[in-house]
Amino acid sequence: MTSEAPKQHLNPFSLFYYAYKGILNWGIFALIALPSQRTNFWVVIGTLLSLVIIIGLLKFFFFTFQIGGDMITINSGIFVKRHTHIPYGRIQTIQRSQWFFLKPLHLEQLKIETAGHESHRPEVTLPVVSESVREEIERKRLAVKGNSTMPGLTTDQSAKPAVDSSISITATHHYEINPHDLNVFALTSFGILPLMGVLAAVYGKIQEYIPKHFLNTVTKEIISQSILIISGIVLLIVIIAVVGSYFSLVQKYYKFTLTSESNQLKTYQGLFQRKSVTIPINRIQALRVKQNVLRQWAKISTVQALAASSAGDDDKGNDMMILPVIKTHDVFNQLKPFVSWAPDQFISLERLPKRHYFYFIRNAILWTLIPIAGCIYFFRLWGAFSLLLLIIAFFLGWYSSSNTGWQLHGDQLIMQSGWLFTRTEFIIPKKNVQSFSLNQSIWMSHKKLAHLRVNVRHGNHNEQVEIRYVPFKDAEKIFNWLRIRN
Amino acid sequence: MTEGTHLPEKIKNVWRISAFINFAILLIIAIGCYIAFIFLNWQWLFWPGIGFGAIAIIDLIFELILVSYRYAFWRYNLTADAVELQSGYIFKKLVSIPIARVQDVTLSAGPILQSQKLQTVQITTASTSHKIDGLEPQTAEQLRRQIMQLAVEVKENDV
Repeated sequence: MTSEAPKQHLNPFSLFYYAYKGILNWGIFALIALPSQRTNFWVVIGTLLSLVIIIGLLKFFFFTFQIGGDMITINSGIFVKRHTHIPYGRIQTIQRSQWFFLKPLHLEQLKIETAGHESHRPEVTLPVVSESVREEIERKRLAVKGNSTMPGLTTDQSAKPAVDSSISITATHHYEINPHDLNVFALTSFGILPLMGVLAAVYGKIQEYIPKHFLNTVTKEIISQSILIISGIVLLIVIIAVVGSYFSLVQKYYKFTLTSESNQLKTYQGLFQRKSVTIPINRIQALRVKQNVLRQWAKISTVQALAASSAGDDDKGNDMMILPVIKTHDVFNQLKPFVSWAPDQFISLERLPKRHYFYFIRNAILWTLIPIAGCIYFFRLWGAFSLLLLIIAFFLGWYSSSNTGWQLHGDQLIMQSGWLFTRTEFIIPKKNVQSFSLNQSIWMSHKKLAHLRVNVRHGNHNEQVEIRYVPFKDAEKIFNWLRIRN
Repeated sequence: MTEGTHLPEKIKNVWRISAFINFAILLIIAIGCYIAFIFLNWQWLFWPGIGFGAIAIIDLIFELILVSYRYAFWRYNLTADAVELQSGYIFKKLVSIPIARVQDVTLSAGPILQSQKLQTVQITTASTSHKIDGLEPQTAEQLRRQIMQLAVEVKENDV
C-alpha cells in the first residue's frame, strides 16, 4: 500500500530548522568547551558547526514521508531506520505552526498525533513542509471519517472531495478574541512575577561581567545614593516585566479564533508564529474556567479544555485554550455553541461554612512559618520583616477557602477551588471521572470534614481536582453520586 | 466505610521482608560510606554514612511497627460498579475506581511475592493506576476476571 505514494522530502528550508535545533543541542558543548579554549576557539566552533551541518544534511536526506491512500508513512533515521505508519482514521489532532517569515513561502510545521499515550510529545513532526501537505492530509482524513465512523477502519477510498460536503452538513461556529479584552487580560497577568525573578537574576549575572574596577567606582556611587539607585533598578525591572509580559501575551493570543467544524474544535492564534490546533470535541474531558484575583475584579475569565491528547500540552504544560479571555458574564453563552454539554450559565455553588476558613488560614500560616524562621535565623532583626508574610498568608488562606465550592449539575460535577489568588472552576462530566477518593485525617473525622479528590485525564497524564475541608456529609454525597453508574 | 476484605495474612510477611531489604540496601550504602571514609580517608563521607545508617534503622523500626497497622486498615471491596480500596486510620483514604473506567488489570509477582505465593493486582484507568499489594493467585485471577467482565459490559469509554 505504502509504496504507491511517492516519497517526499521536507522542504529544503528545513535545513535551517535542523541547523537551529542542532545549535540549540550542541551549543551547550560550545559553552562548556569554549571558555577554556583560547587558542583553538575557531577550531571548536568550526568542528561543532560542521557537525551540525552534516547531521542536518543527513537528517534531511533520510527523512521522507508518503501520503498514501489510507495512511501517512514517515521514514526517518540514519542508522536505525524507522517507519511510522499512521492511518488517517487514527489521527487525533493536527497542530500547525507557522512563523511569519515562512508565511509568504507557504511553509509551516505540522505535528500529527494519534491516541496512543506512550510518549509526551506528538508522534510525528514534519518540521517544514508546504501548506498543501496539510490540506491533502486533512482532505484524506475527512474522506476516511466520512466513510466510516469506526476509527481505524481503513478504506481504499482516497482523495475524494469530501471537504465541501462535510462542512455544509455541520453548522460552524466562530469566535474571535476581543482586542480590548485581550489588553486587559495581558495587563492582569501574574506572569510578571516570574519574569521579574528572571530579570533580577539576569541583572545579577550582568553584574558579574562588568569589569571589576568599573564596578568598584560604581559601588562607591551606589553607597552614597543607594536607596535611590536600588529603587530605580527595582522600578525598571518592574516596568520591563510588565511590558514584557504584556507583549508576550498579546503576541501569543493575537487574533485568537476558535472555530468548530465537523466535531472538531480548531484554534488559531499568534502574531509572529501563527499556531493552529485541532482537537475532536469528544476528547474533551473537562472544562476549566480560571481567573486570578485581578481578573476577577476586571470581570474576565479564561476557559480551557482538558483534552485527552497532548495537543496544546506540549509547550511547557500549556493547556488547550478555548476562550483565552472572555467577559465573565458571557462565558457560557460563548462556550455553549462549541461544547454542547457545557452548562447554560454559571451554576451557583455550595460554599464552605465560614468557620472552615480557619483550616485554610492555619495551613497557609504554618507553611509561611518555615521561610520566616529561616529569615529570622539568618538576618536576625532584619529578618523580622518577613513576619509581613503572615498577612499575605492570611489572605491566601482566606482566598482559598472563600473560593472553594461544589455542585452537582445534571450528570456533571462542578468543583471550584482557589490557590495562590487564582480561582479555578472545573466542570467534569461524570463519565470522565477516572477515579475518586475521600481523604480524612483522624482529627478531621472528629470534626466531620473530608477532602474530595477526583482524577481526570489531561493530556497524557492525570489531573487531580481537589476540594478541601468540605463538610463530610457533602463530600460523601458527591462520593456516592460518583459511585452510581450512569 | 467499613465493609470490604482484608488482604491475605501472608502480606504481612511480604511487607516485613521488603522492610528488611530496604534496611539492607540502606545499610550497605552506609557501610560503603564508612569503608570509603576509613580507607580512602574521604572526610566528607562521615556524616552521610551516619545519616544512611540512622535512616536504615529508623525506617526498619517504623515499617515493622506499621505492618500491623497497615494490615488492620487496608481493605478492598468489589461492588457491582466499582473497585474500592480503603486504607489508613490516622490518615483515612477511600478510593473508588469505577469499573467502567478500567483500561486494564495487571497481575504480577516479584520474587518476594512469589515466595509467599501472592500476586499484586494493578488496576489502570486512562489516567490513574491503583495497586492491591498482594492477593492469593486464585483471588487475584477471579478479581481480574470479574473486573474485566464488568468492564466489557459497560464499554462506553471514549478516552
